[in-house]
Amino acid sequence: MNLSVTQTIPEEVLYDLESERRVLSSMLHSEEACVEAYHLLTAADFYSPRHATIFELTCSLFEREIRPTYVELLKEGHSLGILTNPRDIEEIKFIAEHYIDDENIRYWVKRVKDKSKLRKFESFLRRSMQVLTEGKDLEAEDILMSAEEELTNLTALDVDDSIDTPADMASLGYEEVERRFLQFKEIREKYKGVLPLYGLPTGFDDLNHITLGYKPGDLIILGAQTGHGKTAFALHTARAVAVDHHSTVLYLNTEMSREQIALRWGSILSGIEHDKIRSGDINENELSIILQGYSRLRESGFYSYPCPNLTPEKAISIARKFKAQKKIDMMIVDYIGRMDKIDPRLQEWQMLEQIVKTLKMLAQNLKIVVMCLVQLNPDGSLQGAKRMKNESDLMLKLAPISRDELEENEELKKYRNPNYYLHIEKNRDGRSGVKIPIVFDLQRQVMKNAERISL
Amino acid sequence: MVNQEKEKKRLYDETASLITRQALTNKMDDEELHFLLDLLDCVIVTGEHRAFIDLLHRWVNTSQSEDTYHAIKKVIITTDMSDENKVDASIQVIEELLCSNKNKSESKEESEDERFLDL
Repeated sequence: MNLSVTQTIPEEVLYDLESERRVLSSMLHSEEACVEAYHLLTAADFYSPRHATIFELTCSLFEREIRPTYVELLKEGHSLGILTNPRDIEEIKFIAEHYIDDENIRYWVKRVKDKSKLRKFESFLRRSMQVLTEGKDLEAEDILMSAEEELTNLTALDVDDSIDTPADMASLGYEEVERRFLQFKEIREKYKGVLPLYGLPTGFDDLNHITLGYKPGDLIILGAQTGHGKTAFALHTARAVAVDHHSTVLYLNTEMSREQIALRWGSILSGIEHDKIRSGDINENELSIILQGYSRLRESGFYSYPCPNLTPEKAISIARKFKAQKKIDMMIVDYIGRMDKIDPRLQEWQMLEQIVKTLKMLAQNLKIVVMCLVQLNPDGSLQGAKRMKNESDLMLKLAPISRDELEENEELKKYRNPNYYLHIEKNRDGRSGVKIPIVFDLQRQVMKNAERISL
Repeated sequence: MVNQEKEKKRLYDETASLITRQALTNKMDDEELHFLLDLLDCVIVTGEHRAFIDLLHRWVNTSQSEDTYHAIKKVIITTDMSDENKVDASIQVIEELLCSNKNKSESKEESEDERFLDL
């Protein structure tokens, strides 16, 4: 029997140069296409080595926030000594001039990806054939087991997926505990018992203590009624993470203008009343304090993206772009009730549920913290709350403390001027059902833990 | 309008390819390649630095000594086109070099005239 796998497969089954060119061309003409292809493909997915090189060059420019145009590609390629042949130039020129329709970028990306998978499959078949023809002494069971494992990796799992064996899981668990044990010991000795954070700071000591910080992959939901501090909470978090901790935050705001956001920072970082700043009723000394505040913002990792027409797809695309170019650690969506519907037939709670699911996936895929703000009903409840709670890792509610409770609750009397509760409704990684009394200074847009009165 | 845009794009791509081919065949160096591609972007895409481009026209249409030519060329190709202040500074230097070239050639002409009269 004389069988050759490669001879029996037509070439067009294994690669599609036109799709590869269309993807590359779209990347040269559209930022959105660039974001899509950057996240979904790798150079190894391209059959043509020249296309793979162009893809790598394009991605490298994109990462450095240089718009990958034809001319930029030529410059980059020449600088790196990759363009050595006039035929390379002709190939890039051909790609740049043709197939510039990027509307179907996902379709062309999928075709490139599919062909790449088929080539891997073909290579698997060839290897299996070789094993059969050469490995006379091998056990049939071993051959089949090995082939099955390889085939499973090809079909069920993406490149990034991996399966943890019992041994992997045990090692990982022990390493994590040991690391925390040693760190805890060190902290206890050096810093007199202040718990270390494993994630980003929350901006509240008590919340830091309970959660140990916001961790990559976490979806945090913060609910509050209209006018009860959603944006103040978002910017308070952004301050803790981007200004004080110097990590990078992307802040998507669906209802405020750039000027409004910038002015809020003036209050937050100077401690001067927002109304005074807004009206300009400040003295020269205050102006100088505000300027100092803004200089801290200038040095921070806070990126703001006001987008009134935010859709889940757009949120994904923006997050991917900022992850690639600015290496964001956290994204805050303020707020999801204002996001456009994916499907107009959906009920509001269904839409919110879909958005929350999408954001959770995004947090896990990009390994960033995603915080989304939601609006509570007047009675403090949340539409679709149960489903949202299922998706979230941490669900918080911000609500004012009633006058009656302030007068009657003895526990609250142990704190200095608490006026809001930060209620931990769900915490996947620790205690929940806790109400943290905080002070929310609406005028200064500042939040902090309510101080305990020492007796 | 659409055809005009297409033609502009074709011209842009063709010129970029031509410049890069010259670099590949060692007819220009890296610095020259980068400068020409940046200049191409200015002329066709961004439309920035009009004064600088006008000055380049004047430079290529002015006869000058070899030394002046090379001095001006050095200034031009090392100009960072993304920095407006540096472009303005280069314009000033090139203007001065062109002016001193003009003065030199005028004084040379005068001295030749004087020599002619002496004869």
